[in-house]
Order: sequence, then C-alpha cells, then structure tokens
Amino acid sequence: MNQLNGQCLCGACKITMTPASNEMHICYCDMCRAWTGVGMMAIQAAGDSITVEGPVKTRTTSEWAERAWCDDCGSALYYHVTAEGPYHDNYHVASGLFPNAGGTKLVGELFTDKRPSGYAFAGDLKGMTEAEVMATFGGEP
Amino acid sequence: MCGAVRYEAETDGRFSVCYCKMCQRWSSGVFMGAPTKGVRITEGQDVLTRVRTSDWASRGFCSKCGSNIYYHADAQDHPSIAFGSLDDTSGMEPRIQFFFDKKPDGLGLDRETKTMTEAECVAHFAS
Repeated sequence: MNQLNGQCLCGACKITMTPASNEMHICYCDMCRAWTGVGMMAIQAAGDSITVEGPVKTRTTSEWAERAWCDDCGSALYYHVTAEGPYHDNYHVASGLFPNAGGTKLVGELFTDKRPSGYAFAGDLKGMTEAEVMATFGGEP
Repeated sequence: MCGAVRYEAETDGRFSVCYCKMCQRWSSGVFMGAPTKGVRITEGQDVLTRVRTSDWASRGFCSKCGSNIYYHADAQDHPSIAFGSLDDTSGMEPRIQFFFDKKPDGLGLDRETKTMTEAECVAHFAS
C-alpha cells in the first residue's frame, strides 16, 4: 500500500504511515467515544512505518495503550499499544488525518454494545462486543 | 476521556454530523455534535482549552487528554457538545449532515438525513 501523509486540524502535527490494509475500524469504548465525540476511527499502520512530528502529547490511558493528540488543537492522532504481547507497538491512526480517510473503508466495529443507539454506520460491518474484544485482546482497553 | 472536564448540557435530542476537512482531522474522520441550549462546565474549566479554528468557529478540548469537548460557531448562542462525550445518548438521532460532499468514500450513515454540501454550508455559515 502507498504511504499516506496526513495532518491534524491546525497543521502542527504531521503523520506519515503505510496502512497495514485498506480497512478502517471504529471503536466505541467509553474512552474512544469521549475522546473524539464519536469513537476512534482508525487505520492500523504497517510495521513501524509511522512517523510523527509536531506538538504531540500522549497519555497512558490503560494497561494496554497510550493515546496521542495535538497539543495545539486537540486533534486525535493515534492509539498505540504499549502492552507486551502480539499487538505490542501497533499504531492505530486516526483516519481523518488523511485525505478521504486514506482511501480506507470502514469494515468493522469494536465495542458494538457501546455504540449510541440512535444511528449506525452503513455497510456489512464486522462487530465485536465489549466482551468479545476483552476475550480476544485481553485486559482493559 | 480522563474525567478532568465535566459539564452539564441541555440538548434537543438530536445531533449534527460534519464531514468538513477540519472535523475529519479533529475527530478521526467525522464530527458529531449535539447543539445545546446551554453548557455549564462543572469541573475542569482550567484545563479546557479553547482555540479558534476557522473564520467562523472555535473548538474546545481537554488539555489533559485531548478529548474533543465542543464546537462553537460564532453564530451559535451556545456550543455544540461532542456527542459521544455525553453520559446518556439514548434516543438521540442525527438531524443533518454538513459538508456531505466531503464525506470520506469509505463510510456513511445507515439512513438519510437532511444534508448540506460544502458550498451550501459556506454560504450559510460564513455570511
């Protein structure tokens, strides 16, 4: 896949990455919903392809991961798995940083039982409830 | 997300969706905001950062965790709250999709709503 070049709302933070695939997923867990007001719509970065520059702030938000945002404008940047294990060092990058969401397509949802009831995203989306996510990935989000 | 900022807001049970480039960049792909008749910050006013993000609006976010809290157009009396940050969203439905022609190809809502294109939004809000 081709490299994507993106930026936050104010342009101070710039991110490049090669997507692991053309899939986008959204997470509706309490943290991600509070983070962006909708959920975290993310594209997984391939390997260690991600580069980040600018006033990035990070916060360890669980035993699993840290979340990053732009200190100047509050744009959500990425979710970075810090826990040891098979997902260590995975970066799930905010799709909206890239034009047309980097050409990715929303294919799956995490924490489907936490999605607000009044709407849904269109498509034949794969879904995992909170319990299924916990069972699959272990630990807290 | 971190709990530092807490607020009370009165909404009318509906929220708006925006696909403009700024909202895409701010909120990971799309912004969903619930217009309010008033917002009261009950905790964390000192860590709530407000930035002017365009000629016609400002946005507020938590400086401790980056959480998107509100969008406030100059034309609005009160801010629109980032929908997903509400404790209770039961029964709330999408009312309108702004900048609909700028929506990323790879996602969309499962229903039709009133929509406005970029040109219509600019004509309406920039005036």
